[in-house]
Amino acid sequence: MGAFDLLRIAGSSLGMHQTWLDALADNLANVNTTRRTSENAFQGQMVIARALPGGGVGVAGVALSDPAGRVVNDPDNPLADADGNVREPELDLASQMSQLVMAQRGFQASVQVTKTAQDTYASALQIGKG
Amino acid sequence: MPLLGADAVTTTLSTALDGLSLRQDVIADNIANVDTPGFRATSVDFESSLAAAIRDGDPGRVTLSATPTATPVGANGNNVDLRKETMAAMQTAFQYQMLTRAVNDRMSLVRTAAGAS
Repeated sequence: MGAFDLLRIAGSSLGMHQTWLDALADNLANVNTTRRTSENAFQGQMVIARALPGGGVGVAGVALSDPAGRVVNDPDNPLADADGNVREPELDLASQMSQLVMAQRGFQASVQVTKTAQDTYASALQIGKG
Repeated sequence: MPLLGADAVTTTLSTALDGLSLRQDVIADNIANVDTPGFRATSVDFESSLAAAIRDGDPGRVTLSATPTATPVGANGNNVDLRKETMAAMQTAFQYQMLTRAVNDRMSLVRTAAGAS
């Protein structure tokens, strides 16, 4: 392990959680996005986290939610087809919101690790100073 | 990492600092992976092997390693306990600061013995 591994590991976690938060923000912004039934529904992004070999965490990939979505009857919608149906994204608002809390807490935990790292490195720099 | 011309006390302190440093890396890794599916938390126990090495008279001969924990896993196969990890991070940081102070005290002792002002 290198000299500043603490910061590298915490940084990798901040990056992964940021990607996750960005994806959740996009999903939540589009939770009411409707499309024509002839088109694919809005596809939510699901970030896949993976532990890195030397410590830390990274984004292994982003899975997309079902393009079929949910067909909902909404005849007043200007995008509705002849039967009055539109296509809504297959996203669960409750799940997205709880993931938002998880991602935020994970991010905060790693911010705390960077603070601990600062204390430790500052302390190590005092070795031999008297 | 053995220090040049170090005595048993300095070597012990140095090994302990290495152990704490690895422990902090491992805690950071556990916290980074708090939401990673299937992740197993690891921990570092260098105290018992350091104590054994001191008994054998060579505190520098300690192999530091992280071992996976066997605590029960949650719904996504992850067993990181965030509360435990943050407490351990704090404790390790304080221990590290205490040890750097001990190293400095030891050094000033040697400096005094060497006749430096």
